[in-house]
Amino acid sequence: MLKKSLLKNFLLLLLLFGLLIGCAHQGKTKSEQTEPPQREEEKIIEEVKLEPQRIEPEIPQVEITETEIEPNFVQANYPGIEGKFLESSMLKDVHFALDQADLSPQARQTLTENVKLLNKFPKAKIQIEGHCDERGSTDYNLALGEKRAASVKNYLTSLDISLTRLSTISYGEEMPLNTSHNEEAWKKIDAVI
Amino acid sequence: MVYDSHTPRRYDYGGVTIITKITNCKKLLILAFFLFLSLFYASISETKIYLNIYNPNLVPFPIAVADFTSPRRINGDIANNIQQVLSNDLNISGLFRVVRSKDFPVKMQKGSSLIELQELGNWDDLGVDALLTGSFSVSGDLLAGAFQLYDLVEKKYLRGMRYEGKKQDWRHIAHRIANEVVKQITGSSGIFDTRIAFVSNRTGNKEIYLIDFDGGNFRQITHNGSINILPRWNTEGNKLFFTSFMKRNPDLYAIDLSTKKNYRISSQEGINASPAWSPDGEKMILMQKHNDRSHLFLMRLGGKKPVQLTWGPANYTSPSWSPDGKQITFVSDQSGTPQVYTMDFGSKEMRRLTYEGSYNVSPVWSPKNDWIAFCSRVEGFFEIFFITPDGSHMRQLTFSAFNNEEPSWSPDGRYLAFTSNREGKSFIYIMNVNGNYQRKLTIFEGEAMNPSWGPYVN
Repeated sequence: MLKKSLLKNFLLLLLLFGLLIGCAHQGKTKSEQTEPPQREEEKIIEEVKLEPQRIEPEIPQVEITETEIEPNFVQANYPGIEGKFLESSMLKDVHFALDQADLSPQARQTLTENVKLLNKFPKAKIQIEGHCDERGSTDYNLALGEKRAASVKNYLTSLDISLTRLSTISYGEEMPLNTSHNEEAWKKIDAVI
Repeated sequence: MVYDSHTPRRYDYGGVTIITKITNCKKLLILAFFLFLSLFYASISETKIYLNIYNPNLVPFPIAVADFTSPRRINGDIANNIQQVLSNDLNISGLFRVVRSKDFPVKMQKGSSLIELQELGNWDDLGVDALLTGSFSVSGDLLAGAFQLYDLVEKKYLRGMRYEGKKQDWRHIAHRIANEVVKQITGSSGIFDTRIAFVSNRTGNKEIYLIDFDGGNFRQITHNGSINILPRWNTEGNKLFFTSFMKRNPDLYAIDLSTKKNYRISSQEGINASPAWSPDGEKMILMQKHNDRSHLFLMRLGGKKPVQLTWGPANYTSPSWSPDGKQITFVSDQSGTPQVYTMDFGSKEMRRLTYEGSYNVSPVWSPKNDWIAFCSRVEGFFEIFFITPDGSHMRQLTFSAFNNEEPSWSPDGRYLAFTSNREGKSFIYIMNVNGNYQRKLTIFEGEAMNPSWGPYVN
């Protein structure tokens, strides 16, 4: 009985999240279609905190609710990786120069735009993903992705986004923006920088 | 040494177990006995080295491998398979030139498991220095047989071994025979039964796989459907550590290769990756997050608190131990670009080794202590380099307009596994330390990366 009411409360909390949440992130495939491929990327993803053991049976309801309220937001997940999140094309990726984790003026501008959107949904939790392309050492890229995510996190906090809303994860080179390996793709990437 | 005078003691001495009962008055006698014994063993272990494997101008040793026979024709296939696999081992090692039976003197072509020394005949025209013969048979699920190795120059019997095992393990037996041949001819242990762990995306996601040195016995180790990367061996070679994103964080897991059980080893928020096990097998250095950076942490078996080895605003990654366990090599970008460093545990001194180039990563310390192999970006491509642990000499091993990355040493320090995209897709290759005999490990759909060569198999 107690367990059930807890569950209900938790679900309510989630619904509240669903109402208040906006945000999300530009889908990977979309960005590949609409933008020239770029060397490095930074993603901002809005994540709903889920407790899988407790609310697992209720997830389909949550999905339905979210879609009804804000069609721009799409619930998504990565195969084989725990947790779900909301995506939107309104949140833009931030790109980095080769081997670098510093924010360019353009990156800062993108983040400032993103913050406007994030501010509309003050209760939304945000997970910042750090990515690298496939070149270079796998473990060093894991560290570089962490550094990039931290750059974004620090800049967002400087724009008054509460640290408690932010988390980071580095995917290293495991989800590169451009997965093509052929010579042409390489040249295109190089041309952007 | 003082022993309880009435307790029987067992001494395992050079494979001979001696049980003695020591009394005070006999101590001196026993000491003399052991002195004699050690001299005796020293003299018989001094066998002839036919081939110096560390000679940079090594000429492959010519060896004749006879068709392996079988008492019953029905078993011919397995004897033949064993001979094929071990011949391939010897060939791809770069140490041997294998001459097959079709080129033998006619009298010898039939093959025989036991050749009388006077029948060894004249092999001079073939220019081979040794002959390997063997015979195997199957009974039910059991496989049994033996090999014999002869010195054709001095016309003498060198070594033979008999094997009994399960039929399904024929490939292991073949690798062991090849190991024995290498041991006999070079004086160094063979690595033909060692394994290489790596990552492949052939199922659509990255899982961990194992493969033998010769590209055989390919098998999938993880099946979790997530992203699994950076396999690393423990010192004993019975566990594989790897990083997986299953729980939406790069956590460190281990899989016990005999029980197939999975363990979550480290799940700090942020990176838990690239564990390097010390040569004594008691310590592990791991990448973990501290203040938004990757740092190196030392952990001991028994779960005591980790010791942080690196500090500050830079990233520290990719640890690898020196064979004496006194130093590590690793990557840091404290200079602004990733470079290779060493750290001495005694002096606590950190030393930068690489100064050429703006991207030097993936350092791995040779088991022979002569080189640290690493990967450097040269004109936009990655190539494998060597540098001495004191940083005094550097040399380039691979030259191509493609990427050659992620070197990993064989346990004898004579080969390197690495990743290359020379044929378009990333795959695992093997080469000798002089850069020769580059070969693709195996072929399958998808790509392969993150090679990690396992230790000797006992």
